Parts: sequence; structure tokens; C-alpha cells
Amino acid sequence: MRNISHITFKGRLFAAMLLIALLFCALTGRLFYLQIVQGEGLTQRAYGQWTRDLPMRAARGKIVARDGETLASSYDVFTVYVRPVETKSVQTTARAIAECCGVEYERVLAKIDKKGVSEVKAVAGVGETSALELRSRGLDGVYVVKDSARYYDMGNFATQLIGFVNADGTGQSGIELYYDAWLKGVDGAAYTETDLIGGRLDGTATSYLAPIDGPTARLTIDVTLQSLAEKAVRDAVEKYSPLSASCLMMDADTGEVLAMAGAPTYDLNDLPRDDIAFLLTGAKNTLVSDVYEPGSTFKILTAAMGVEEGLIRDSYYCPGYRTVDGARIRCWRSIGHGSQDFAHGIMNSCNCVFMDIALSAGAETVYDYLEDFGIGSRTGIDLPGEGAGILLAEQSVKPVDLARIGFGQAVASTPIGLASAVCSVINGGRLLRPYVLSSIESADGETLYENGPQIRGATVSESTSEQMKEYLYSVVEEGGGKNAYVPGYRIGGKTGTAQKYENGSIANGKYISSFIGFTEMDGRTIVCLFKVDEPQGYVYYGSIVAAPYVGQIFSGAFAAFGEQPKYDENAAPSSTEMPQLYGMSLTQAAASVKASGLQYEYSGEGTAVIAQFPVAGAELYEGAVVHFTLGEM
Amino acid sequence: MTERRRPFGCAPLVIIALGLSLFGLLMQYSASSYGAFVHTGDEFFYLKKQALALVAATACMLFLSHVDARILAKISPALLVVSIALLSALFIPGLGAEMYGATRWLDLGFVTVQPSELAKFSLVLFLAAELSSKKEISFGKFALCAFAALSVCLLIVIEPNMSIAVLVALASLFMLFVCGVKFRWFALLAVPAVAAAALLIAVEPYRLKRLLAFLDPWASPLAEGYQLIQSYYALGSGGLFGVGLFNSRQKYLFLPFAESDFVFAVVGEELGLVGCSAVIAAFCALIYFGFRTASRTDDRFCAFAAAGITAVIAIQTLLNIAVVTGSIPPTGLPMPFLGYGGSSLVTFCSAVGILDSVARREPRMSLLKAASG
Repeated sequence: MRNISHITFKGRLFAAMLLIALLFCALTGRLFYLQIVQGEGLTQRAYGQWTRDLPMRAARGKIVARDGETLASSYDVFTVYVRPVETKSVQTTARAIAECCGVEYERVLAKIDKKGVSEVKAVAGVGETSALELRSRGLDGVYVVKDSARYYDMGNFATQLIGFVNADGTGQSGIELYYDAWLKGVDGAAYTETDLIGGRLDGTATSYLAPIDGPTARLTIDVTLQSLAEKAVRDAVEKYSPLSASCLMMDADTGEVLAMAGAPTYDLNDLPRDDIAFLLTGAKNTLVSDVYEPGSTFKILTAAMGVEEGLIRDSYYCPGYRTVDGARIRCWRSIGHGSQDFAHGIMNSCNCVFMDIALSAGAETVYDYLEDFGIGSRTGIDLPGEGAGILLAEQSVKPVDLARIGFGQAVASTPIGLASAVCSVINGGRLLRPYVLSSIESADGETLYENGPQIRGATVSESTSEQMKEYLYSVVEEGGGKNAYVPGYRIGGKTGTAQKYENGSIANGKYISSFIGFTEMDGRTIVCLFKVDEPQGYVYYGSIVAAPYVGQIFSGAFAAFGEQPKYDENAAPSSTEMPQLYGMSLTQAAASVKASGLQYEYSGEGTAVIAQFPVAGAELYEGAVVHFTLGEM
Repeated sequence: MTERRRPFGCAPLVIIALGLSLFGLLMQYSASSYGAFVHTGDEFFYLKKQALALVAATACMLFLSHVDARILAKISPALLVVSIALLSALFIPGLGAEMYGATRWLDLGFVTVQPSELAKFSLVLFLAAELSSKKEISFGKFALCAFAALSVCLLIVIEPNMSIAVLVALASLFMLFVCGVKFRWFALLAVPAVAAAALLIAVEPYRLKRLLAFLDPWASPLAEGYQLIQSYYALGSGGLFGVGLFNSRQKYLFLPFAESDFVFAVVGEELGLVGCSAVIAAFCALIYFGFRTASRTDDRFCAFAAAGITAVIAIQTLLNIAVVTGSIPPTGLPMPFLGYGGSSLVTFCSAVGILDSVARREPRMSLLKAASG
């Protein structure tokens, strides 16, 4: 049968064979692509489904105060996971868990008696003894995994600043939230090889990836100052039953926050989780998040601008009001302050003086200074939820508004924003970024991250700063801030009483009383802002409601730091006589001057004193500086 | 030198077929032991059933190897009628066993069989007989063959068993082409083919979804794409040399049908690209010997039948590997010899038996040489 048709058959068969061979080659190529080219990637993806992992929580990093006192720490607790498919009987397993961990059998059973889930969290927060007992029973499908729980060593202390974590150990507010990425560490895991439905494979070992505990966060907070602030805030709450009270202390030269206290508050170890509203208000750090009309405390900034710009007049007259564009704006003292110089204007907190300064400066200059002082922007403090101050738009500001801004109305700032601006007035004109975290330190003491003073801008000159300090000292020593006075120490400050606005109009009888003070202690210049929101009763002046607490805090701090009084309050400086130095050697003259309680400067070179000032026998205050000239007799 | 003295017509054919079947038993055991233990408590569950099937398959192969293949030409119409009857019987309630949403198995009480396995070879034999009966293929013959093929396809499609239907269609096309049907007549087949495809997609839209799913299995990793992704994982983790025999990780219930449709993926995981290539080489050798048998025989029917049988083996192997490697839309088709399934193994071994019987008819090389010399 070797005919044409058969030859056609062979030809077509050969063609078909070639096609089939080609297709086999193509599929082998496809296999090469999947197994060799993509092999690695596919294996990695597949690995994810071959294992089940149980988390091994890293211990959250400690939070310590600047001198190392522990504010927040972590301790081991245990979480019980159950893989229902691996258990011999869910009932027996549930009973064992209930017995060991002291929880209800029904609740455990309800949780673990499930189909189609690979694992369930049966009980969390189990103590070590219970966990070890459960583990020792060696139940199939029960996994006891280490977890970490938070403990706040000082309880109700710097609550808003430190913040807290949720049940999963994630920061929810304050430092816990802001530095959560650092504090949480790196969780580990226990990996088990399983089949599709989560059944553990025989003969496979569980592999562990150890967790890396979180490093320690060291704050700038001074426990002594914080304690004093907490105490003062609580006293104010007790006395005035306000909506809230808060206190902020900063190092004026570095921007470090030394204390941050607020009320209402609660113990961080006993959070009001059932009362969400209270939980949230107590967690809110109003010093950072909320703006308020600062009132007279703002006059510090207006005054600094006036001094810097040379706008200060020799005398001011206050009839109890100023008329601006036909509108009568009243001074707080309706009968007026009469004639006064600038220093007394500040001491009296006379609104007219500050209206005059703001109006003479003009809107452009005022807004330049507001910008320099950082009012209207955020300070960049390392805490969550910082608010920005509020300014009227510059182009729409009318003289009436400008006059009010001069004494701290029609402008709003956060307490931290105002305090930072005031720091710059006191520290020579450096506007600093406030900060609360000093450093992040690893377990072996290595510094992983560090915050330091950060200058955001310049405000006023050194000399303006010096002058402003003197004015502010006089407010406490002679003016409206007397209640913050601590005998023997120099304290400067300014009171503030601001009316609250509700729905765009003044709310009757609702005030924010505040005081910003500063003093030098322990080698630092410390600024303290104390604020009482809606004090109850008839008194609401900042000088009466807020200033005494700053005095109380400073007084406590002087004692705690062993700060010696600068001068004796009761005795006037004693007088002395200028001794006769003529003809004495340098050493003799120096000894003689010192013996009289004086200080000296000298000029020239030689063996004997040839001239002196003042003459011998002149009456001088102790500590005064005298001068003599050396030469050859 | 009588034919009876030769133990086999073409020993390599039989050796490769039995070799692949035994290797299949090993791989099926590896792939199914865990799943079998979980579901039935007996890790040898599938192995035992398939070993029994292999005994039956070997018996069928040896028997058919000794039967003159030309007899098949005479009984092929009857075989086709029986096949069509069995396929139709699936729709009689109580006889058809439904599994995985399709009625493909005939429950005979003691055993379930897949009529489509028998049908595909019956059709090939029928076509070989019809197309070889005259020297010139008339249009009437062509039309009869096309009608027979379409009828079988249609019955299989409505089971539904799309993959075997495609296999039968491709094998029929191969037969018509190789056996010398005029090219222009093929154009007539394109019309009903396109119409049928369009109708199927319109009637059962899930097919289109399944058709497209293989292009990006990661888009639906838990639905359409799941099976393919699991197959990729198996192949990918195998790499060049594989993770070692019995060490598959995908067989722990991750890879569905690991012992049947996707046994090749387990080969890829445990034995790597090297193992896959070896299996492909064995199939290529089998196909080569099959086609060689077809080209050497002097009987038209035997030549066409051998070519058709070999083509079924080749096409089903290609389709299976293409599915496992995500080269075509996923369809449920076991790998010849390797995949779990008694009906499949028995019919494929029987087919090899027929091939061997055909090979027995070839003049031996020495005789040919002597004759020509």
C-alpha cells in the first residue's frame, strides 16, 4: 500500500510530530522559568503559607525622667493562644485554661470552640505563675506566649505628658504615642510548620525569632519640679474647682520642658476605660493642644517689641480707657492709672500703655514680631497634637484690633507657644523649639537618638532682654505679681486674666487666670506658666488665682535645690566706710577693701596705691565696687 | 520467525508505559499520603486503589497486545455505540455519580468508571476505521466523521467535562489532518467550533472567568487563582533538583488534586526541573515510538489507529503540563499514566497494548534489510 496517500500520511504525521515536539520544548521552557527564574520568589511566598507564627512581644522601652527616675516600665505577662484543630477536646482544653488562669470556663470555651480558624487568643494578661502551670500541663494545641504589659511607676504623675498604651501595647497619647516607634521595640515570633488548615506537622520544630526590647526614653522632665507642679495644680483644683488647671515649666536657655502637669487627671495604671469622655479629656495635653487668649501675660511680648523698637515714651496717661477709631477700649482699672512711666505701666499692667505701643508700632511691625515670636505657628515640640496659635489676617486688622492685640486680646496662642516666646524675651532673644525627650538610650547605655536645643529664630536683642527682665522682676517685687514673690529670691513675671469667648461673644464670668514667671535656680533660668481655666467663686484675677502657685512652686524648688537667698529680705543692706588705702601694697589694699565688705577694681602698675575712689571715710553700701590706682610713691 | 515468538511488538513502548505507571504510583503515594491519612485514616488509600487498577491495566495491555489490531476496525462502530450509550447513561439518575459538581463517573456498584475515557479511544478507532476504508476520503466520510466527533464532544461537554471535550476535539482534528482530509474542508469545522465556544461562554459565564483567571492568579489568590498559585509554589520551591522525594511541602493539603491532575507539580517540587525534564523525555520517547509504529505498519487502519492513539497520549500530556504550569486556563485532566485514576490508567495501558499489537505487524528490521539487500 505504498501509494500517494500513504506518503501524504507520513508527511503530515511528521509535521504533527514536529508541532508536538515544539510544544514540549515550549512547556519545558515554561518550567525553567517557573522553577529556576521565579523559583526563589515563589518559595518565599510559599513559605508564608507553610508556617503559622505566634507573636512574641518585645518589652516596651522604659520612660525615665532626666535624672533617671523611672516613669514607665514593662513587665512580663503571658497570652494563651489555642489552635482548635490541634486540641484533643476543646472542652477539656477550655477547662484547663479556666482553672490555671482563673477565668470563666464558658468564656474560654466560647472563644476556642470555633471551626475554620487557625488560632484564637484565649486569654491575655496571664501572670507568670498561671502561665507556667498551664504550660506544665503540656496540652496539645495550647500555646503560652510571652507578652509585655505597662506599669507606670509614679501612677498619677505627668499623666498627659507620658500618655498610655492600649491593650495591644501601642502608644495612644503623649510620649507613648509620639515615640511609639522607638519604645515598642521589634516583636519576635514563634514559627510552626503547619498544613493548610493549621495542623502542626509531625517532627517539625518550632523556630523562634527573638524580640528586641524597646530602648529607654529619657525625658527632660525634672521629677522635683514636676512633683511641685502636680501639687500646685491639685491645690488650685481643690481651691477653685476650675474646668482645668495646668502648669508648664521650661528651661529658658535650652527649651527643655522641665515639668508639665494638668488636671483633671487620673492614675495611668487605672485608666477610666469605661468613661471614654473622661479618658479622652484627661489624656489631652491642653498645654500643647489648646489655644487661649493669653490676656496680660501677652504684654511681655508687646513690651519687648516696644523696647526693641524704641517706642517707649517717658510717661503714659491712663484715664481708664483709650478711644481708638471712635471705640472706647477700657483699661482693667476703670478709674484709670493716671500718669505713670513705662516701668509702672508694666507693674500696673495698664492696658492703655500697651495699646499705645501696639498702635505706634503699626500693624506691619506688630505682625513681624508676632511671627518672630512664633505666635500663630507650631513650636514643633515632640508631643502629639500640637495646636497653632490664631492671628487675625494682617491685611484685615483694624486699629481697634491692633490695640487689643497689644494687651493680649484678639490673639490666641497655645501655652507652650506663649512660654517659648517669653523664654526668648528672657534668654537674650533666641526662640527655641521646646522638647521633652532628651535621648533614646539602648540597654547598654548607647545613645541612639538625641534631642538638643534647637534655635527657631531670633526675637529681641540682648540688651532688650536684660531690660525686660528688670521690668518683670519689678512686677513681682512691686507690681501685680507680688503674690508670686519668694522672700530673698529674684522672681520676674506677669499676670494675666483673660475673658473667655463662647460662640463669638464674651462669656460672662468665665475667665482664664494665668501667670508666667521666671527665676534662676540650680544654674538655670526657669520659666513657669500656670493657668487656671474658669476658676469658680468671685476671684479670677491671675494675680490672685495663679501667681501664688508659681510662688509656691518656686519656693519649694529653691528649698529642694538648696538655692541660697540672693539677699536678706528684712535687713536693708548694711552700710560701711571706705578705708584709707593710700600707700598700701596691692595685697594690703585688697585685704582692706574686703574687710570693709566692698569689692574693688584697680588700674596701673606699681608698688603702692597712689589714688583711690571714693575718698577714705565715705559711706557706702556693702558690696559696692570701689576703685584704686597703683604707682610708685 | 512467526509473529507469536515476539514477546512484544515494540518493547520500549511497553517498558516506558509501565515505568511511567509505576513511577506514577510512587508520586501519587507521596502526594496523597498526608491528605489520605487526614481524610480516611489510611495513608495508602489511593496507592492501594491505583495498584489494583495497574494490575487490571497491565492485564488489558498484555491481552490487547496479542489481539490482531485489525479486528478493532470491525468492532469500532460497536465500541463507539457502547461509549455513546455509556455517556448517555450518566444522565440516568442513580447511575451517574456526581463529584466536584460534574457527572463524569458511572457507578457500577463495585467500581466507578469514566465513560469519557473509553469514548475518546473508541472515537479514535472509529475515525481510523472510517478514514482508512477507501483510498480517497469522500466528503460524505468526512461529514460522518465530523458528526461522530461532534456528538461525542457534545455529550462530554454537558457532563460537564470541558477538558476531555477539548482533548477529543483536538484528537479528532489531528486524525482528520493526518489521515489526509482536504484542507479546505477544515474551514467548515471552524464555523460550528466558534459558535459552540461562544454559546458555551454565554450559557456558562463562569468559564470565561476561569479562562481569564490563569493570566493573573494573584488577583484572586483564594478563588480562581488558588489552584494555580499552589501549583506555582510547588514548582517554584522545587528549583533545579527538587526538595527530595517525599519531602513536598505543598502536599500538606495546600495543593488540590495533588495526586491526580497536579501530580506533575509534585514531581516538580520533589524532583525539580531535572525530574520534570526526565518525565517529559519519557513521554517524548513514548510518543516517538508510537508515531514510529504508525509510520512503519503497512495497514492503513493500523497506521491511522496508532497515530490517533499516540496523539491522544501526546495531547493529554501537553494539556496537563500546560495547566500545571499556568500556560492555558485550568482544566481537570489527569496526566496519562502518572495521574491518579483507574479508568484513565486502564484505558491508556490498553491503548499502549493496541500500539504494541500494531508494532507486532511491522516487518522486522533484519527481514527488511534482507529483503532490500
